[in-house]
Amino acid sequence: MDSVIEIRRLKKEYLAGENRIEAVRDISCCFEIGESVAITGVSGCGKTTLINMIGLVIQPTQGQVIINGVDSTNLTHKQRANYRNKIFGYVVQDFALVEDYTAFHNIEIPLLYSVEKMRKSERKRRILAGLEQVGLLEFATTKVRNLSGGQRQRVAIARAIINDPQIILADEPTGSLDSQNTEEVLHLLHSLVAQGKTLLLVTHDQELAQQCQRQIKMADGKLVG
Amino acid sequence: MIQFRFAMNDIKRNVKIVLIVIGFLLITGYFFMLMTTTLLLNLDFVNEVQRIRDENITFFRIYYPSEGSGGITSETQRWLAQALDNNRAYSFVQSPELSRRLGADVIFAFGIFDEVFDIELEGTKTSSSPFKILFGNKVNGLGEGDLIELDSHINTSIKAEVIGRLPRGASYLTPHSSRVNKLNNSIVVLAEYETWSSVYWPDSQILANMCFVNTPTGYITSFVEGIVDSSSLRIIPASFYDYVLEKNIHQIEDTVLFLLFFLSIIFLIGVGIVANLLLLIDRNLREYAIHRLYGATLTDLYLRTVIYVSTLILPPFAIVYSRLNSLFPFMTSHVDIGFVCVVISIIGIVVIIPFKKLRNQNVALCLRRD
Repeated sequence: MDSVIEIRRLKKEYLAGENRIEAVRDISCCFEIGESVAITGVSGCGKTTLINMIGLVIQPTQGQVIINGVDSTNLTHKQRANYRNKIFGYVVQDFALVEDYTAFHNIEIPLLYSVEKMRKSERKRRILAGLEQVGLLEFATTKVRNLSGGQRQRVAIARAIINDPQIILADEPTGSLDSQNTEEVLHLLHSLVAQGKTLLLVTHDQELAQQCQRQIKMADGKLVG
Repeated sequence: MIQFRFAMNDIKRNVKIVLIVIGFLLITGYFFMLMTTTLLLNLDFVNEVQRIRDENITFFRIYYPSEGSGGITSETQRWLAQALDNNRAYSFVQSPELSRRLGADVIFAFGIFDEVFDIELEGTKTSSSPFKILFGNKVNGLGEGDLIELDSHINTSIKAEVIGRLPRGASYLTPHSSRVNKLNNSIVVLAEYETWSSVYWPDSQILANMCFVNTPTGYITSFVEGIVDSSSLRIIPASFYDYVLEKNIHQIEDTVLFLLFFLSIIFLIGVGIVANLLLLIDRNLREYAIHRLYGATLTDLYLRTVIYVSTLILPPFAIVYSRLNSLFPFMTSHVDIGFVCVVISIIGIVVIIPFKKLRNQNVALCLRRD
């Protein structure tokens, strides 16, 4: 299998007052194309920090994130933004949706920042196709604040995949969902893996982790298994 | 254009505050720009006055009799003709009737008007005609060599020859106004006073605009005595330079005070806009984080903020500016550039703090609801 992401000696430190806190300590590993990997560990062990560094949301204090063979340390702000737009799709616990936008407009966001310019009609076609894929076509013009938790998370997934990214970064995607919605969301995520996308799933739920092809366990900012 | 759309969303969400800010800016901006224009006009006037400082110009304050017309007699006319046609003084009268007919301000200028205000052109003096016409840059339909019929007061047809165009930016000063009178849209009829007074009925306007240039005091004293003896008018000579400078400095001081007052109100409105922006950014932080997560750069967010601020600031200033431009059409192009610079500076100052806030935003933190 080819490696899509390689992280080398990744480290993240935060300053809390005068104290230096090491959220992630010297982590190295690889993620392959089309695999699903669960990153597990107790709350506060550094899972989210790790996935945010991989997704170029935050800068590591030290180390490298190599994406498709390119060292992200050398990327400009604009290039990092383009990578976030094209390479990654993000799904987070509380959906990260703009509450007073409609489902349609939330999904539109990545397309608006896309490097490849497209006509409004093409944009519309893709958004509606995305909504159909997650079973929410009839809610296109509904403001997301009026949708249920499961529906919101499906909107978030539609938004994450609208630009056809290589890697899905899912941070506790089912954390605020009931069991039925959890199952639906997981089914959606694993169907994406079946389409060849790489899924990095952050969870503290062992049951969810076991559904992934590989598990990485973190404790105290380090990989422990 | 994407950020324009998002900025318009911000406006929609804040429509009441936006309208209040625009209203305040409209009122304050109007008075601010009115004061600025007045100040510029005053300064321009003072500059022009400084330019002719060495000319030692004397004008007359006129006191009209409490009874009677105070009209100009033939003896008074003799004194005026002597002063004007012997190149000791200049004067001018406006002609509303001719202005209406020719569609441009028409003034009859006498004596050394053309020399004092540098509107003299080659050929002017060589023409023997008692009436010679020069026209401003914005006057259309006239050409060198044209003959213009002037309406006289005694039904005599007078033809004046157009001898050329006035120099660009030509203007003249009078102690009775506080601004430079531009001649761009004017027709100046250079006339010999004696000939002119034989076909027109002179009034006291000619005396009110009369100015002696570098003339010995003795001559001016005898002129004053001559006028007082030959008419019921009382005239007192005064230094043009001292009089207008004193009058304008008071005006400039008053204008600057008003300007500072309106500037401080604009400053307060600016503080209000900054506070509103910070609130907006606080409320939108999560939205900004989502946009950045999906490919927006800081520049995109800066642009969105600038568009929002510009929507608040530009329309009131544009309305005010176009209104003032119609009131003072002679405002020159450097005033336009100055205006654009002022507006850009205001926008620039207002967005500094919000930009800092955006730059310090922690995207990862904003995505966590807790």
